[in-house]
Amino acid sequence: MVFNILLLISVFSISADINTLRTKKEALQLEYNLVKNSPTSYYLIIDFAAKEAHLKADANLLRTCKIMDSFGNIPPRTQKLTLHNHIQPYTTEPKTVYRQRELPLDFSERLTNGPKSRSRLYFMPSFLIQSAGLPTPRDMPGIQLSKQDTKALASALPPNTITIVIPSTSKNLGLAQ
Amino acid sequence: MAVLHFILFLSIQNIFATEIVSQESLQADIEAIEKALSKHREQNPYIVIDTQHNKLQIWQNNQIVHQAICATGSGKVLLHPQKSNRWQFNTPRGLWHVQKKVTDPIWAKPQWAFVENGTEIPRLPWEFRRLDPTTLGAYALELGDGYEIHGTLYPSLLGKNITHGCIRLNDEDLALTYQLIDTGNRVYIY
Repeated sequence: MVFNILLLISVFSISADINTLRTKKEALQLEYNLVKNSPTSYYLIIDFAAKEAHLKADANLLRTCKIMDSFGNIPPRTQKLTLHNHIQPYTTEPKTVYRQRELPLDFSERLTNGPKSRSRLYFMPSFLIQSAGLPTPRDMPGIQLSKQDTKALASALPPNTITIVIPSTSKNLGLAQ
Repeated sequence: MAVLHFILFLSIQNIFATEIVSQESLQADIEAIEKALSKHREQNPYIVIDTQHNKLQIWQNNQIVHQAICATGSGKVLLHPQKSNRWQFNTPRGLWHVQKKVTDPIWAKPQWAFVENGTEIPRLPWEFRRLDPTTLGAYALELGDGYEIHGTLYPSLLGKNITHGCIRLNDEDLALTYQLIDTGNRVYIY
């Protein structure tokens, strides 16, 4: 009886390891396809297990950004995202009109015109990278990076850049190596 | 009861064996993909330039070997007063390769250098007035399209976006970069 219980515990332990390996395989396969199809392009790997985001090109590491915080519901599976657009410091955003008056701030308290001190990167399916300290949107998952890292990523990644998100349910995958 | 335990043991053992096999198969797949990825990975040292924070790093095997403060493009626009020429001084993003390594480089000044100074543009490309043997420092690494990694006469301006698109380094960092990087090595700019 005791032996059976021990065996059962081993089965559960192996199942957890298999999930970790499966996630690692999916992420590596996505990265390999990316590198094979567009070797000169920059791409981003957001690794929730390691709490780091890695800017890479052709499997070469270019920058490691520490994930300072995350928000929203992060999907528990490996995901491939596409960068949709940036809000860069000099982006002009649509003005907020309230009772026929134009407001200088939007409802997240950002300036609608003039220089902004921070950048945001919007991805599809819905995901956001923004500087730490900004108000977080309600229904959008995302991460907060340092102001320097966000600015550097906004400079590196043009629209349509592919990003791979690895969930935190797995163990540290060591994909940055 | 003993028979029931035995049947249970056999079932669990069967699941255990299946899981072990799938774990080994996954491990083998991962090793194969990692091997394929490592073939793409650059074995030689490569340069990474962050134009937003004016930092140059030399990487090898995904480790930073050397780090330096540089100066990169200002992003400013210069217009020719008479003609419709227009120059924007950006450091271009993307993947570049070191085309050529030069010691004691001589700068053949382009048109914009004369427009910027408000002096007359020499008519011939080899005119003596175009040649400047001091501005670029002791070494230059040519990236193509007129962009170079070179030295500076103004080390106090390193760390700022003030150049015409080239990447400037101080004398020590330039000498080390010249030593570590060979022709054909990659330069990633973002």
